[in-house]
Amino acid sequence: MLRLAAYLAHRFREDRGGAAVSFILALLIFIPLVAILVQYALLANAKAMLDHACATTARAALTALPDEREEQVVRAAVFSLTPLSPKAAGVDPEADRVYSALLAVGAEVPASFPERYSYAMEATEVSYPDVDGGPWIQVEYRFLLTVPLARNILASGPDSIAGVRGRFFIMGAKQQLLVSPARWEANYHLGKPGSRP
Amino acid sequence: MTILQRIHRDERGGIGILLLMTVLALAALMGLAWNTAENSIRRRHVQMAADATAHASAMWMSRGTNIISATNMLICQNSSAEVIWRAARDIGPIVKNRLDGEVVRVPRELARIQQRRDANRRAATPDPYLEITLSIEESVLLEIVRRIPPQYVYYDQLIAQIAPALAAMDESEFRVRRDEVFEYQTRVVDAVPAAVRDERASMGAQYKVTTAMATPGAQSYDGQTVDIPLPVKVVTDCNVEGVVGRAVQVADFDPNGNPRDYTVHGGYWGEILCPPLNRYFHNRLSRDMGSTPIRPILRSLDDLRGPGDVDWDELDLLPPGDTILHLIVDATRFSAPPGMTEDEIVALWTAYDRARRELLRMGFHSRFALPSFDSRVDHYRRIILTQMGVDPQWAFISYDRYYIPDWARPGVFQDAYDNVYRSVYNSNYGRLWRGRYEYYRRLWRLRIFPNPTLDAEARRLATEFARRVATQGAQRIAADVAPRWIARTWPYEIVPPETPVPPIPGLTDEVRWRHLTLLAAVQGTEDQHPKHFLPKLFTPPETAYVAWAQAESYNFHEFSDGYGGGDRYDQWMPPRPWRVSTRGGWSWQPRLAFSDALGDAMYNSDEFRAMLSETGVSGNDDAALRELITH
Repeated sequence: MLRLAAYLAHRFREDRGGAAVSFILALLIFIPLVAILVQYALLANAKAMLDHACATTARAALTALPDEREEQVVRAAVFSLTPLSPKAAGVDPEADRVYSALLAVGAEVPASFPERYSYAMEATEVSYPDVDGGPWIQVEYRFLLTVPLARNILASGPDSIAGVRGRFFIMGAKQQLLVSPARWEANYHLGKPGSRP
Repeated sequence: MTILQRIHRDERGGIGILLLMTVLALAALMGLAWNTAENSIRRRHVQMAADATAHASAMWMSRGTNIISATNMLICQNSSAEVIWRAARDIGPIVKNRLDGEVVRVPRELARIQQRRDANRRAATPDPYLEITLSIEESVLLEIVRRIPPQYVYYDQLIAQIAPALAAMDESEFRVRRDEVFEYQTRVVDAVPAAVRDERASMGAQYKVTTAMATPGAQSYDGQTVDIPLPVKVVTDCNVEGVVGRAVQVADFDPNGNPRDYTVHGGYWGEILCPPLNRYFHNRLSRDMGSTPIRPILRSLDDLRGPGDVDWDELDLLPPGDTILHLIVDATRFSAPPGMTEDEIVALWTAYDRARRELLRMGFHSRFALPSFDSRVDHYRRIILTQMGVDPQWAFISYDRYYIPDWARPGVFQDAYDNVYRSVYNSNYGRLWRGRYEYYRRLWRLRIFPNPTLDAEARRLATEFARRVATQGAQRIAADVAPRWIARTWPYEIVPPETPVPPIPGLTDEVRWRHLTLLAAVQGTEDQHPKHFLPKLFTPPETAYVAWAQAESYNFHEFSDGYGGGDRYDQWMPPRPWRVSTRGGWSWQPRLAFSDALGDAMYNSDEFRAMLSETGVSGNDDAALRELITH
């Protein structure tokens, strides 16, 4: 007994490996923090791209809406967000058409473009909120969170978009429209600027 | 202890390594976000530059077109002024000669009356009723003598009004001014492409980009700059001859039942003098005629005389006032004294009627001043408009003579037929009706012995006859004129649409692309190249960003039913030009448009194509481009 007590006392006085313990404890907090930091940086980058996509979509709306080509407005948003998108499980026929068209005009496009475009089609939503004397254009995008640990904290639960399973963060950007005079109508109707009544 | 064991046991600097890795990771992430934003800003800047360049160039196109429109209106105003000037120059001598002639004629007529009276009195059996006739004529003429001097007062006012204008201008100067305006317009048309080039250069300097222009309507080769012209062209000798509708003989019966042919007169349809400008010219002339001070003076002069052609049976409709015609009417108003036989009543009425006819023949009652002026205006309207049609003028680019498309032919034919039918019917009906009615009135002596029942019967018979003959004649003439009329080419300001309108109002897309559309491409210079954070790690793009924008000049009146846009093509005869010749043509504006002409632009302009190929877009596959264009 006395020998055991003496051994334990000796061990407790021994301070070698103390830093390792504190390091492990710190790591348990540090790694999630870094993960959140990295994910946040990726989100910031995504937000910058979403803002750019919103500006591009607004520019498209400037001329596409008065000429009654609303589908081109959505396409502008999808195009701009394709580089941000993961590969979908399948390929939408429209994505294929767009890919073929890009190749036809000589553009260099990665082979994964159709799948990414398909995801972006599902994940992007364009609307025209009537706020404060509008009209406005709003683009919403479901961004796939890729950093482990951080995605569990930032997103509520797993979901599936275009066959991509994971956790998503809904981001939005808004821009006011100054629409070009309509070719067909003298006035605009809020909700869908430039469209016929 | 070996070195390795010493290093292994050395715990110093452990956190530093971790910190270094973290800092590197954070720097990379910061670089990612920074570079994304930097690229976004540069792209948007270049797109803004493209939008501004395209819009500014379209603005010059709109300005130039508005100037052509406004100056065309000026030409029409000049022509209207010339018509009124010439008519005013003529009316002074017309009025003077007429009044001077009447001053001379009245004493002669009075002398003639006295001669006839003397002859009657010397006759073996003097005619008492002739004496009544001569007395009536004499009393009216003496009153007329008294009323001529006030008409000279209005003549003096007329001369005072028109003399300054006649002194200030010579007849030939009007056309010289119109030529000067045309020369100015030509300078404007020549100047616009240079203005667009200057605008493009200044946009390039301001945004620090290089620019290229293209238009679907014009090609450029070997890197030459595309010029953006105005959508107008010179037109000469544009007068359109009309179609003559020959008179026809319609077989019918006279009041006694004998077969007889009656003439239904035709007319002249489809003549259009100076089609590009005549709409505004006529509008302007009507306005100027309504506001010229000459007409009130002439109307006042005529008011001293008579109310014009009057139906003697509608005496209640005569305007109040002390006119010569009232004088004649009052003097000859027939009323048989009681106790006369029927023959005596007829003889007395004949005496009064003879006086009435003689006084009307002399014409002292007739309103001549204002009708003469209006007649001169119509005469010179035709002359000046014909001249304008011969002279060169600037018209909208798509103005030309076109055959009516097949789908519109039935409708236009029906419109032409109805137009001719209505005109022939209306212009002949009154004459036919009056002739037949007067016959029955004379036959039944309704003037001397009024009888409402017989009068109604006379009117009914006259109506049936006139309707029958006028209808037949109008149908035959319309059936002859309408096919010949629509077989010709018609002057139209726009290309006739190949499908029924609506839904295409006004200009076709083809004309819009070819003549009203332009595209601008811009590429950032070295200053606009993205400046990346950690460029060795995040390689910036090799070439500067390129953007394009399409703009067009448009007129919102194109979509206004009231101004010639959205017309049913087959319902308008003659055509109603307005795009560079009326107030509506003064509203051309620039707008950014959907880039549906990008394929054509890449095909037409080497410069434009070269700039887009820098970004990897080298083909001009139209279907592929249409799939990809979002703005």
